[in-house]
Amino acid sequence: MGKAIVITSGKGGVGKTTSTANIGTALALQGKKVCLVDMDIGLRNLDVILGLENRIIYDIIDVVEGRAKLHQALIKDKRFNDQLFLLPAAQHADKNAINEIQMVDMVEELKKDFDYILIDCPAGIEQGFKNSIAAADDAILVTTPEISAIRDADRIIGLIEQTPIQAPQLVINRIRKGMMEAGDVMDVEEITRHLSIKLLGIIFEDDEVVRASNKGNPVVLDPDHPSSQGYRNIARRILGDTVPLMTLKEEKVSFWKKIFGFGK
Amino acid sequence: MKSAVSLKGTQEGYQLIIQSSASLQDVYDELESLTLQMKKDSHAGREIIFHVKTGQRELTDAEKDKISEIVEDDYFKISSFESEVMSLEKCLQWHKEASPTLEVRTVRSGQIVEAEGDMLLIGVVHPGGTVRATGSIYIIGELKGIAHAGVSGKESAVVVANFRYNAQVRIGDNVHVIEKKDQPKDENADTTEFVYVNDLHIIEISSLENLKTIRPELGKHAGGIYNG
Repeated sequence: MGKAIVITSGKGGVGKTTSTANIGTALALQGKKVCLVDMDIGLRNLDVILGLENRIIYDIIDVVEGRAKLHQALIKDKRFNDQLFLLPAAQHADKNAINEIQMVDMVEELKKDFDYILIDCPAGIEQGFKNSIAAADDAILVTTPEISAIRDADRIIGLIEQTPIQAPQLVINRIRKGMMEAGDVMDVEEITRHLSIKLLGIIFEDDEVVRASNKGNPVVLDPDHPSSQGYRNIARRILGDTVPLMTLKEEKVSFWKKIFGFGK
Repeated sequence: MKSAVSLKGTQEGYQLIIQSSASLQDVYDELESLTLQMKKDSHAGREIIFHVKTGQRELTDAEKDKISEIVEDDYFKISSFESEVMSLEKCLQWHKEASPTLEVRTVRSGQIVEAEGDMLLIGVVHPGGTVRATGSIYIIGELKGIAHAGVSGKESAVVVANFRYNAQVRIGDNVHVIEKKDQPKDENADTTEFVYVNDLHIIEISSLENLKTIRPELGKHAGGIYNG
């Protein structure tokens, strides 16, 4: 029996979809069977980031309305042998095309076959959000160090508190080391204390995330980048490992390296 | 047999004591004959006030009206009814108003925590969160959102909190915006203060030592319920 985890944030643009793709991929790399469910009906993106856009035949609404069986709508990611699947959102419908009960039924069905079901929640707190959390056992809350994202995150925690889901775990995304060190934004500890939930992981701002996503390859596939490491650590923590938090210290480019291009 | 109604004269005036074990019909009958007797005996021209004690019986409004109807005339008046018991409903209402509600929680953005009577909150009110009480609000923790005391118009309510952060305080219809541009230099400085509405109906903030002077009634139980 698998576990359904909703990835949510309240505010848009903080990296829910990117995080879903990367955490899902990282879990698949750890040998788990993972299904990603895109709930952003009408504005789907998860398929694009995973590079599966042109392989969609049926979508979630086709399943709900009986035009397709659940297993027909699942898209297999060929990079992993039978480890990672995507249930894409519909592009031609809106968030009200599905309700909480249908969502719960569908996720229960998926739990039989998968270890982890990651639900990519749309921004906002309307029907799309309600559908997404209805079926979840756990929640991951993505925020950035910006005050607006933190405020929305606070609101989301309050809403999740009213459901049987236990308190969400926090992912702080797009951390700019320089700004955080200079005190221009709240630091990791402050954010965690303010929201008073458990910290699951931090991801540093990294151009490579966008570059990789644009190519349809989640950044986590390339282990050399700090953001990739961040997502891998999150996946390991979800699996129950204890992994130390990545350090904030900006690596100083040494004098010799600057001059000669080598050295430490 | 003990009579259903007895008359007693005290320093405060006359008391009509109604036996709680007697049937209502007996009470009415005896009241009728008693008042008839008294009206015969009494020196006309002087008003006599009765205070009705019903003991272990809580009379309904209709029953009270009936008794008033029997007893009262131009000279005989009933000033009040008093019983030693109260209805559960009234009791719970009184309990609610008299005892502060204790909340131990974080009030997050978008959440509203309400209480009838006074509220004691132990926790943090995050920006965008609201605490509301018909009485006063006391916060142990941080107030960064909205505290609304005296929601149903009780302007004597106060809000006591550590006003170290940007926040908003409302008492009744009055609004006060607290703006702390910078954190106080001394991190440990105690900034616990209270907000109240003064005699000119203007909302004001004052330091804690003035609380007892400005609101002497706080900290005492306002007393039981007026049982009339």
